[in-house]
Amino acid sequence: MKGVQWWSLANIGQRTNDLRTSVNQLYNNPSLLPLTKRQRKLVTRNPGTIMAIAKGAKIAIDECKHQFQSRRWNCPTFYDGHGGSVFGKILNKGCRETSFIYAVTSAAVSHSVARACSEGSVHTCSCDYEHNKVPVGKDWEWSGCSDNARYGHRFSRRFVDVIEKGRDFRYMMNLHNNEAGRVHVSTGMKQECKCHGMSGSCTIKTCWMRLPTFRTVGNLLKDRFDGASRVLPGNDGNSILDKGNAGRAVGRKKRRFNFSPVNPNHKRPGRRDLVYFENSPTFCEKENVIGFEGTSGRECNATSLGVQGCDLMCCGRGHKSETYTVRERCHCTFHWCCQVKCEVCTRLKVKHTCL
Amino acid sequence: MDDMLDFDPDQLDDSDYELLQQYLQGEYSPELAELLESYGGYDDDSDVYERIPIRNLYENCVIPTASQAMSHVIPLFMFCVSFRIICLLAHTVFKDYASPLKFLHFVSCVFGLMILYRFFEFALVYIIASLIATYIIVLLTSQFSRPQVGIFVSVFIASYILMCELIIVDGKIWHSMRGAQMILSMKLISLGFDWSSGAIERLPSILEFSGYCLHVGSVIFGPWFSYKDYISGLQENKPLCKWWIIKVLFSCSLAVLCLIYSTCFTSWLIIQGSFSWLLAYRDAQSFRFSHYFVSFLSEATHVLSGFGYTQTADSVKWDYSVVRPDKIEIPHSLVEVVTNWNLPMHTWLKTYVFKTARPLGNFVAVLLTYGASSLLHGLNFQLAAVLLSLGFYSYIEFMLRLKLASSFDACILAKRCKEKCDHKYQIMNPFVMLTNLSFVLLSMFHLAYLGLMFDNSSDEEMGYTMSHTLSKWSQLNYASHWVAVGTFLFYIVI
Repeated sequence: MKGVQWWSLANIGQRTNDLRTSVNQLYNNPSLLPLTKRQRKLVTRNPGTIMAIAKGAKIAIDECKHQFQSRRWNCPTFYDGHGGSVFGKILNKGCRETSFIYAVTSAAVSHSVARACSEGSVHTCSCDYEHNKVPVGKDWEWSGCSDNARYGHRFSRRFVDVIEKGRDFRYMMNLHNNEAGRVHVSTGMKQECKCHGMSGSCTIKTCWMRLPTFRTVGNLLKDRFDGASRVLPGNDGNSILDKGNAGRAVGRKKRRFNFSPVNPNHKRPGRRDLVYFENSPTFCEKENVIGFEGTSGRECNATSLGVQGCDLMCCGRGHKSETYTVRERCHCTFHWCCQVKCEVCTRLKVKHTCL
Repeated sequence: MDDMLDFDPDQLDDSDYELLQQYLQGEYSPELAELLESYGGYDDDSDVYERIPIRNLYENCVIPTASQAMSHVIPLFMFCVSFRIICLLAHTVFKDYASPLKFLHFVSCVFGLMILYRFFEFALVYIIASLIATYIIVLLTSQFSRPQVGIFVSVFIASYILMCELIIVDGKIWHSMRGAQMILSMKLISLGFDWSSGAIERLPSILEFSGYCLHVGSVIFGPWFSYKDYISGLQENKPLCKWWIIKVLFSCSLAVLCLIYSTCFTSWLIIQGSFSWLLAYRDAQSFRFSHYFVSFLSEATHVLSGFGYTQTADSVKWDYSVVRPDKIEIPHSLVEVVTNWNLPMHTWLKTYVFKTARPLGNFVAVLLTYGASSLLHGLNFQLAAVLLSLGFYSYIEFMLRLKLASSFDACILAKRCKEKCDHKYQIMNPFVMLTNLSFVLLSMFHLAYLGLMFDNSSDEEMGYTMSHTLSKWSQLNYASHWVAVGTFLFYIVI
């Protein structure tokens, strides 16, 4: 689990200065300790990406928490080396939640690296501002460049996929989910250009990159989470274990990587779908295997019948309700011009928590 | 062991930079490649459209758009300012000697060439070629029939544009320099006619000629201005004053605002997937604002280089304007749109085409005017279709409103009534207001329809094709053409 420790970079957001050092210093920087040697090399070679990755890890965690705030599993995170990863031991499983974590984190890296590229803070993007000093002439390939998306995608592949070792089914699944997350980012990105000139001629051309917000990506991934397919290795999937004479060997066997759904009536998962191979636990009781605390003590909605409703959330254990008072601004009036005057009201609120 | 790569990147020295780059830039590992391959192509879902937050729009669109435009425009401004300063200096330094005009023509010419090179690189030869050829034609033809010089020049320019458009020049290059060529053609033709009619007494020397044609303040984005204005602008150099600077800054800020609105905000306000007429309105508006950007830019460069003032008895007013967006966005009539779209070009068309063709009859003159206009725009099907439609629409509207105005004796003409008009029903009459308002809405509808195919599709760089235009119009069932036909029938019936 050493590799996925890069997620803990989310915590270094504040200590920004120590990462803007020279290449040699950066490589040995203690902040990069969670990274593998290869990842460290990668970020050292591409100065500026490490900040983007840290930011990416943070937005991934925030997005996961946001998307799952009303589910039993609410994307808990641990910052004390809990099972070696920020997301805890759930990664040892191969369930839906695991697939979402992989997808959302790799998507976040892709997104924030592409973002950093277009802001000009990564100098190795193929389209940084400095190398485009003279954006004139017939071949405009200028600063608002289309390669940012591709760079982000590639970088994420290099950075995220590289940690997947072993050649088992889980490895395949993780690769797939990583890629699915990234595809959602890069297909949402679009370069838009516009010509300006006398009556529609093209004397000046301006371009910009339409980047989806990460919330959009999160929503899409959540949809895929709900529709994720449970898969088995494809018929000829066993051959992936046959490492044999892989690598440069000439007569390398063609290994099929396709997944077949457990339910034969389901469609084969596509490139954007999330896949998993283990059913999720109920997430009702405390489970030490995955380090989940259970839903006891979680707040729930007494009137809702949905997943955040007390019935489902508390797994039938019932809930307790307590009332508390809040002081709010109320009866606000607008006085010309320009003042808003409010009174302070005291209201009773009820909080429901699972037993 | 690692079988993913041909080498282990962790074992590399800094000297193996190339290998490492290869590793970093390479697409993906063989495993992932196979995984992806096994899915076949993309399973493309329909895109999800949503409004991006205003902060993102600012960072991703406003900033890059503005900085990209600035990187082009600032050198142009520098040249214009330098030209202006050189003019002022020349007038003070050479005051006691012979006129500095020759020197100024030379500077104008050199600066023009430099800015042309900056924008078009070696494609500027097409501009130089038409310039020199025209001068030769002027020289030759004025030997035997000076009154026909204008016609000869026009015929030459028309065939030159046709040749460039159809045969010689690569589409993308031609499309990028069409604007500059258009300004040049207008200058050349006006010069030819002015020489024919005797508005210019002395045949300009090649230096004066190219100084005028390549004048730095108008060579890229226009505007057109006459040879006489050029000469008088150089002779009476107006001193720097705060109104001059204010005018330039004002035009610049309007240009930037229009640019940003056109590229970023139109598609933010009306997002993809809305009602099709709303989208048509959006694309057309985006095109219009891009045009305002260019027009304000031309205004700024023209004024910056020391032209475009009006001289009153004791003061100089910097009140030059190329476009009136207020009269296009809320048009009183289509005639008003056509007039205010590009004021100098309107003057040019009126003076050199309409008045010249007047003897052939009014309708022919109007047709010729629109024909000349579309030829200048580069004989592209889309532009020609739009311009011709616009010509017919505004003609129908003009006639209909004339008929209505005389039968009701109300202020509902296509031309705005003056303060005091002699109609019985004045502009504030509710029925008059209602009628005028409905004509405003009708014009806006026509404009949305006519402008919608100037979208940012991939054709844009090459010029739009006929099929693109027709497919866009057929999506809206040619509604505006039908409405125009309906209006015409109504005009005949009443």
